[in-house]
This record gives sequence, structure tokens and C-alpha cells, in this order.
Amino acid sequence: MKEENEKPPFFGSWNRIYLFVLGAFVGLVILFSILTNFFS
Amino acid sequence: MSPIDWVVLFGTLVLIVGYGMWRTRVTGNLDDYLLGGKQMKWSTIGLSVMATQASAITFLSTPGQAYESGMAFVQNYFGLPLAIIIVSIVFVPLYFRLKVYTAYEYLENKLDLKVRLLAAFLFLLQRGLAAGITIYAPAIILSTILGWDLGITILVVGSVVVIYTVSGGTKAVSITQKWQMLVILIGMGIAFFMILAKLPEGIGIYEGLTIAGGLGKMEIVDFSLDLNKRYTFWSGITGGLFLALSYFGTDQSQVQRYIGGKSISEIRMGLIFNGLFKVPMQFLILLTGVMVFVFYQFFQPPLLFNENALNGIPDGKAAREIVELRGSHENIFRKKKASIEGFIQSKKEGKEDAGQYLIAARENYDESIRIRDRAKELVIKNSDDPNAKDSDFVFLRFILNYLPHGIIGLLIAVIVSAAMSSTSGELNALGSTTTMDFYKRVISPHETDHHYLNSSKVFTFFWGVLAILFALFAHLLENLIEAVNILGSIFYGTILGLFLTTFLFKKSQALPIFLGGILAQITVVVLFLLVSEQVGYLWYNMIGCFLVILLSFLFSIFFRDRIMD
Repeated sequence: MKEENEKPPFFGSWNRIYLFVLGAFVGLVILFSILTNFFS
Repeated sequence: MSPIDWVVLFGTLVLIVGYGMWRTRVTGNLDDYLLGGKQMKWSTIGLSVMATQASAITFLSTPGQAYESGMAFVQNYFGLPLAIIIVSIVFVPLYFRLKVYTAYEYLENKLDLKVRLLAAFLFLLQRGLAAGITIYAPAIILSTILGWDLGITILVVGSVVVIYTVSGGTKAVSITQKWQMLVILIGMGIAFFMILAKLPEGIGIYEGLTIAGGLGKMEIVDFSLDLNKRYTFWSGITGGLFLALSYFGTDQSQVQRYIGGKSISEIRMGLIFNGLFKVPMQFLILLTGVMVFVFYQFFQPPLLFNENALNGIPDGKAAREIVELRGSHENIFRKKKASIEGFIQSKKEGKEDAGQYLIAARENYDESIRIRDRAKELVIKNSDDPNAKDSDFVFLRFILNYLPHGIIGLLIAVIVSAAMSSTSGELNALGSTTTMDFYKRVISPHETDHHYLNSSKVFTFFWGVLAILFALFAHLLENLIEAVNILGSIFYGTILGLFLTTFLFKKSQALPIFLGGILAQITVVVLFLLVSEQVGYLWYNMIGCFLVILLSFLFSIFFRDRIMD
């Protein structure tokens, strides 16, 4: 079980990393939406 | 291809395969062979997971798809980041703690042997067939366009993969995949910038995107709830989520890439790398295709990119119509080019007639599509070589006609590397599953570690030979190829359903889950045979998964009542 509690590098906790991934994904979708609206 | 291309192509492939084999020249035990000695770092895991998923067809078809249909395909990958998070939280600790060799071992641990064997059997069935296609699909395109002999291309690519996968096991697969993926990323990056450099003076990325957008290629995200549309945001985050969840969580060809990780942290970091970069990577591959599209608005494209298919039409009425179509295609290209140049010029000068130029360009573009569609129809009716979609040939034809020597060799190396990396991952997983889930568990359970090591090699070799044979004879089974591509989605739902039900149900309910799994699989196959036209294949993942859960639940109630009676 110790392995599972192992802290990830840089972010301090896994939950923060998962939030970061979700945030990056939402950011990409927003960027794609802007590009869609701008160029279509 | 010039001698320098051959040197780059062979140099790249030999260096990567040679390095992989040299690094794994001594295989100690079964753990080393199947799990890479549990020493893999996140960078190897991350690139290896990415390389297994990215087959040669990804790099041949995706730019062509963007050329014809625009950027919307990227939405198919929207479920992936969320799936990666779920796999990291739920699946990874389970597999790591139980020290499993295959994903299906977990099912026996939690339920019983028959559920494990059912899932492993479904995996072998669909991956076993798919492995042949992974070699065949790029080989047919490369041989058509480069004039290579199809049989020799399949034999050379297939044999090299079999040799290093059998000799070095998981570690060799992962090490070669890491370098293959780096070559792929570098090659695609170079291709993208070379296409930009090839655009006419005054046309940069902004103007390129404006032209692509004007002609309907920049609809990246579509939030509409229209079920008839193939790619929308909603189908991506639902159907795409189920597909990615079954693929990364329960497909041994992926699971094997990461269970050999040094620690849970290394595995999660490798997966997170994919969660972060997979969508942008697909976006850039599609954007490369869109830029090829923009390029062909200024330089005459061929009537069809698979010229061999056109040349295969015998003399007669159809051949004469093709000559006429070529003429019309060239005429409409000139008109379209003039309209696009007018559109860009007016836009730059802020004139009001830009819109009129754009309307004219769109009309001309629609006409050019009609001409191409008619040519495709004639090929299907008359040619003896209607073997693949024309869009699959767009990118390769562009590379050969317009990129400099050396880069051509590098980009062919990208395609062959992608074919090798995904095939090796599949063969490695097929060999492991056959050995650990069937041979060791059911047929011969009391042998030495060394015996199972050799058995793994024999089974991997067996699957490799089967894949090569399947690829060699696949041209006789044209309709089967599409079916095999869809096959994944037909089985994935059931396999994911078995895993999710295992998370939800108690050990005593193994029989209801087993029966639920079988009945769900039969239902999905029947459904596919009856209504395949009406239901997009991505949805079978969801249907299969929910059916397993529902049927297992109903069976569990039925059996509980019987026990109580």
C-alpha cells in the first residue's frame, strides 16, 4: 500500500496531477472552440 | 526513392532494432521477458504506450482524413485524458499490487478462472486477427505507391518484428518502441514545417488556416447533439471514453506496456504523459493533413492520389470518361485557385468582396469533390485495384512528390516504424496471454520458470507467423479487413464490462458474470450483423459494457432466487 501513497514529482499529490490533466484538456477544448469560431 | 532515402530508411530501422536487440541480448527469467524485469521508467512507458496505439495507418490515414473531412476527427480522442485518469486511479494499483502478468489474471483473483479465460479468449480472438491487418494495411499502401512487392514488404517487416519480439520480449518491445516513437515525432514535426515552407509566398500558417476554414476544414469542435454526425464533442467524451478505458485498462497489448513499470509512480507518470500529449499529437497530425490540403489549393493535385487505381481501368468508355474528368479537374483547379487568391488578397486589403471570392471558391471546391467522387466510382466499378480509400494515399503521395530526398526516407521510416511498434506490442501481448492465461494456468501448470520462458517465445513466434500469413492472404478477403477494424469495438465493450462488473460484484457471483459476459457478446455480435448500418461502431463499446453489467445483475437475481427456493 505504501507504493500507492507514493508522492508524484513536482505536484505534491496525484489528485493535483489529475486536476492538471483535466485542466489541460479543458484548456485544449476551449482553444479548439476559439479556433473553430475564428476560422470557420 | 533515391539511394539516400534507402540509406536513411534502413539506417534508422537497423539502428533501432539492433539497439533493442543488443540491450536485451541476455534474458534472465520470465519476469525479465514478460515484464521487462519491472525496471521500466516513465519515459519508456509513456512513449511505448503511445507507440503501441499509433499504428502506421495513423500516420498514413489521419492526414488524408483531414484532407478530405477536416479536423473534426480529433474529437474521437476526447475521452482519452479522462480514461487515463481512471486507469491510473483504479486499474494501475490493482495490477501492481497483485503482481499480475496479464490483465485477465486479476479477474481470476477477484472472481474465478472461467471469467479470466473468457476475457483472455475474447482478447486473443480480436487481437490475433488485428495483428495481421496491422502489417497488411500499411504494406498494401507502401507497395502500391512505391512499387514494392507486397509479399516481400509483408515478409520483411513481419519477420524483423517477430525476430526482435521473440528474442527480447517486453523489454525489447518497449526499448524499440521508445526510439521508434521518437523517430515518428521528429519525422512528423519535420514534415509539418516542410509543408509550411512549401506554401506559396505570402501564404503562412494564418492564411493557410483562413483558407482551410473558409472551405470547411476547421470545424474542430462540434457541440451539437445530432446523432447522425459521426464526430461530435459528446460522442468523443462518451463513446471515446469507453473505447479508451477498455483499451488502456483491459487490453493486454497496452497493459503489458505499463505493468513492467518500476513503481506505481513511474507507471502513472507514463500514462499521464499520454493523457497530456495524445490529443495535441492527433491535432498536429490532422493539422499536417489540413496544410497538405492548403498546399493543393495552389498546386495542381492529381485526380486521385492512388494513380495505380486509375491506371488499372481498362480501355473503353470508363477510361475515356477518366480523361474527361482529368481535364475538368484541372479546369476547376485553376478557377478555384484564382478565387482563393482573390479571397486572401481582398481579406488582406480589408475589401468587402472577400466574401464573394469565398463563395466562388466554395462552389469550385464542391465541383472538384464531385469530379473526384465520380472518378472514385469509376475505379470501384472498373479497376482491378480498388484496394484502399484514396484518402490513405494523400500524405504518402505528397511526401514522394514534393519533399526532398533524405526526408522521404525518414518519413517512410516513420511509417514502417509505426507498423513495427504496434505489431510488436500486439505479438508480445498475444504470446504472454497464451502462455500465462492458458498454457501455464490450464494446460501445464507445474513446469519450471525456464520452461514458461521458452513457451512464451514459442507462442509469440506462433502468433507472429499467423499474423504474417494472415497479412499475406488478406488481399483475398477485402471485406474482412473492415470487419477486423470494427472487431475491436465489438469485443472491447464486453471485456470492459467484465472488469467493471468484477469491481462491482462479489466473488460468489462469478457464474452470473460469466453467463452475462457470454450472452452480452452474442447480443453485440447479433446486433452488429443486424443493424451495423444504423449504429456507429464506437457505440458498440458502450452497448457491450452496459449489457454485461445488466445481464450479470439479472443472472445474479435469478441464481439468488433459485438458491433461496
